[in-house]
Amino acid sequence: MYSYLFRRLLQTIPVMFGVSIVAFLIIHLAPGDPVLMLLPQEATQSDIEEMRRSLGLDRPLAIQYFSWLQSVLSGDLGQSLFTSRPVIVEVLERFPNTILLTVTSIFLAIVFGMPLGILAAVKRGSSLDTGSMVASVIGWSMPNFWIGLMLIIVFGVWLKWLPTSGMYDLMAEERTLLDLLRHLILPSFTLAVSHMAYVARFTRSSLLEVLNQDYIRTARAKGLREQFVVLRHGLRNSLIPIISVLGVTIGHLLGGAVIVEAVFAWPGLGNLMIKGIFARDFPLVQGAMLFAAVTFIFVNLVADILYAVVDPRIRYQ
Amino acid sequence: MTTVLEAFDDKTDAPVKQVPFWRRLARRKASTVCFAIVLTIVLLAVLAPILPIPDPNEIRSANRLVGPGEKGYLLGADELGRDVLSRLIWGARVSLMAGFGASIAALLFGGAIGLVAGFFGKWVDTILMRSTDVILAFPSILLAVGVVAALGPGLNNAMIAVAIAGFPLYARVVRGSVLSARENTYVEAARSIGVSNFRIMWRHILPNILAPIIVALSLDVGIKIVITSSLSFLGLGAQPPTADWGNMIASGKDYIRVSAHLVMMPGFAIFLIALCLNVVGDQLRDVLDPRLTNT
Repeated sequence: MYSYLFRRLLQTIPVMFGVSIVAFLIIHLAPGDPVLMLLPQEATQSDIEEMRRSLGLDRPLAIQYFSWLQSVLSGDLGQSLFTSRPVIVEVLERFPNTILLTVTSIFLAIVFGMPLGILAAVKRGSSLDTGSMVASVIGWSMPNFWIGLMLIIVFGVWLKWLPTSGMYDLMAEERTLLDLLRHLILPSFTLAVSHMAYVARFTRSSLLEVLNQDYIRTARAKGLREQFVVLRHGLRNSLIPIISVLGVTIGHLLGGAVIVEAVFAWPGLGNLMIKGIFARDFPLVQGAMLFAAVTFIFVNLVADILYAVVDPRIRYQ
Repeated sequence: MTTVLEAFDDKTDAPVKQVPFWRRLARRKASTVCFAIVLTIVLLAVLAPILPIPDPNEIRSANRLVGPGEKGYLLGADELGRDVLSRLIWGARVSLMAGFGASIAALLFGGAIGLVAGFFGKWVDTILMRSTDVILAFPSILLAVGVVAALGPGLNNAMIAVAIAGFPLYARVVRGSVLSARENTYVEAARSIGVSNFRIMWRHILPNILAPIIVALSLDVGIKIVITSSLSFLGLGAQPPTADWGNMIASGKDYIRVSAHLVMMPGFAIFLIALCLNVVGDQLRDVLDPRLTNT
């Protein structure tokens, strides 16, 4: 187990390295000179040279990268050009909101998607199976910003049941948990829809595969109740691959959150990034991207380790 | 009772009569209907300039936010009095081009990487595929948004960004297929008579791995249309006044309380084409990729 852990940790180092290079290059290869943007129009050529030297932009790209990496590793992601606050502070302020949204969505995706997949697998070939798989293709094909807006139309505009933007009621005197939950329902459901579909499909195929195994036949031959066979012997074993799928799902959710946050004005990392783009606040965009990618790598790492804990065969591959 | 001779006569030993793939494809009603829908939308988009529809950018302030079916507007008018149906059809040109363009760019780039990595193996493979993995470490929409941020908003840049975020898929699919294709005896035969590496890749391997590539592409285009529309919705894709399904939704969003149709129609269009492409792609996979049908 430890050797697996060690190997897996070692593998993340080059990936982290690569991710940092991509995040660095995206901003540095962008057209447009940042120095010209920072300086007033009437700046002379020598002002420009001076500024470039003071920012270290006259040095070779590789040197710039390593000095940037050094500051990033010490937790310094630079300063927002717009608010002049450290990027790391801005990012950490919004990050918990994105995590709240993402975790709630995963929870919803599992709670709705898994039973759907189990039913479809158990009643294979029935109209229930076809119906739930049709529903999952439909869920998979809907753009999430559109789902969000439709939910706003139905539950916010027509029925007036739920709030449609932000995390708290701005008019309220204090921030209550109930208020937060009411604001959380629509965005988290929106984000969850396509992943419910995915979890349902995956659970179905994974369970079907397991239900073909010999030990399932043995369990049935022993005269166990079908319910027991499916849930205890079948589902338990089919759950293993789902762990690694959930790791990837979190990545998709972090990406999807960018769009859903924009629809519902949810004050998360994605919203921050979009604001940064329109303000041409490159350090902020870079910092937010880097932060999200590292989170994703970390989540995948945890998922892989959990997978190896649950399924020892993985460790020896 | 069957005799030994009869057993040898078994029909299963005879070469299986090949049913053309389009006929196998047409057997499923759903995929036929979906294929027809995709074809219709593509045709409408291509024929937009000669269709008898009003100018999509013609502003008529008297008809602001007219509902569907009123005043001769089949699908209503938007916040500037522009015809929604006409904008949907013209928008299809932009949205479809963005989705197809991004997928094909990703295919060309990723496919080339996968082909070279799979064919040469060893350190070439390691370097190329490890670099590709780095791209996969970013949530794809987030990476696309980041690249657009650097390049600046606009249709072409959005396409490039989505292609960059999407090429690893093709690199992996192509590499995997090349790995098995290069072991074939016809590759060995070609090599033994001194055919160049490039020619082996181009003439012998590529034609034999087209099936998985077509399947991957058909399943991917729908996703790419959704992603490019999402960028457009965020204001990072095609810029107004050019109509595009994503930016139509973005501008309709502000009138959601009075004219919900401005959001519903273009969103439904994206959903419909993505759904149909997924259904057709699924069916194509069953038909073209026999390895996957058993699962």
